[in-house]
Amino acid sequence: MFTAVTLVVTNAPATPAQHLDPRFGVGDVFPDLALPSLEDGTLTRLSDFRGRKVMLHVFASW
Amino acid sequence: MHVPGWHEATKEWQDAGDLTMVGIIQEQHPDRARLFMQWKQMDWPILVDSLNLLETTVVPLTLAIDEHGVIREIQPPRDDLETFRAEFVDAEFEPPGDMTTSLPQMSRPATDAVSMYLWERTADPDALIAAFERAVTADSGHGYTLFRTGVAYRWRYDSPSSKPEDFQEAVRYWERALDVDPNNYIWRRRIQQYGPRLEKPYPFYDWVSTARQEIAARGETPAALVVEPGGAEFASPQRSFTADTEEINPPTVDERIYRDNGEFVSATATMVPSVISAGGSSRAHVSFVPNEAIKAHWNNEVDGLVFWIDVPAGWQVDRRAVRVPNPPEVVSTETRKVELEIKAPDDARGRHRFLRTRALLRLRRRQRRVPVSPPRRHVDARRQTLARRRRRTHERTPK
Repeated sequence: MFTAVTLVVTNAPATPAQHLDPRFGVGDVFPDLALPSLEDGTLTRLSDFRGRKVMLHVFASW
Repeated sequence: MHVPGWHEATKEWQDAGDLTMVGIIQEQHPDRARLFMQWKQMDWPILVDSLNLLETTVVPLTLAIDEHGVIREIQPPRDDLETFRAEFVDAEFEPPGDMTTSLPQMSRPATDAVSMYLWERTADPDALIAAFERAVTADSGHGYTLFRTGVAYRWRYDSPSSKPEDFQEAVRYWERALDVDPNNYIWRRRIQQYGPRLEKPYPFYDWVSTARQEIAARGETPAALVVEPGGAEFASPQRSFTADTEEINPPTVDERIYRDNGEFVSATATMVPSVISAGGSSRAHVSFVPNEAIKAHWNNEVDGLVFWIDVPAGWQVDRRAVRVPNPPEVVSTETRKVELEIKAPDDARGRHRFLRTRALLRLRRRQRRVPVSPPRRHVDARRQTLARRRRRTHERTPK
């Protein structure tokens, strides 16, 4: 019985939505990376949004 | 989808200035996100992270970040907006005592390559690849550097500086990165985007056609895409391989075959994944490029390109013959692309890597039509030159 349960757990598909990225933790300051904007390529940092409550979505259109 | 759902749920807060939405796109072709944003009527800043500089391993990832830049919630639940509003949007947070952030660690050559990408907006693709190759030489076990080098190769493949092997090089670098960290789903998806249906989690860009229709129906012009998604990027997942068992009759020598060794049309195949083990499958991306140097072109007054596939015993393909229709022009010089999937037998030994050499083409000679309209001088002149070259080459070619 124990073996059967173990198999079920280890064979469970790992889907990204179930993961929390270990790189980020609550209470961490978000990395101040400069990235090009989609609009015009201007390098933009998350610190440019300081002073505002930000909901950041790291995503892909697929 | 996750992101449009959040957009709809928080639109009033956004309009009131209580919440700012920001996106970071993890895609090879970020302009596709522009079309997606237009389709979903989301008008907020998007930053491009094709190189995965953020070093996140999954998407979608939603973070609630306070006014001081501190992460307050990760993947907040959307089904309890009142709590989210009270505990984040309306809350006031104290600034942290330590504003230190941990930026990704990279070797000096890797930093130079990334800087070239970020700061030299007109970076020469050749120079960028050379910079990333130096970074790989400095640290060949750094997964992010391997992944980014693959991104640079695919970037050049999609540019006017494209080289035939660029796509395959990109795939190989992504595979090497995944060997370093098999749990990085950003890297895995980049391969699956072009890979076989058996390994796809979902169709990647099947939404593009619907998006364009709905945007046009609103009276808007859909955002243009730099690179149109190809067959693999639309293909839906499959649980079992569907082999094409139809008998085909490819042309034979008796049917007056002209064997082109790449003089007129070069063929390059990219396999995703680049190797197949027993029972595995791979998707072939085959490109046919007319030789511009000798003004080779497609004669569209005859049948379109047909690509016949013969595989060894036990191997399977999803299509035995692939046809590419002609464009309306009488002659054309475009690159023609064909995709198909190959499956290895379950008892295949070892790992099979496909040859990198140019494929041999069999161009079927056909009766030329007698023109009934006044001759188009420039077209006829090109045809005559081509015919002369063919005759000369044919005389030299052993049968």
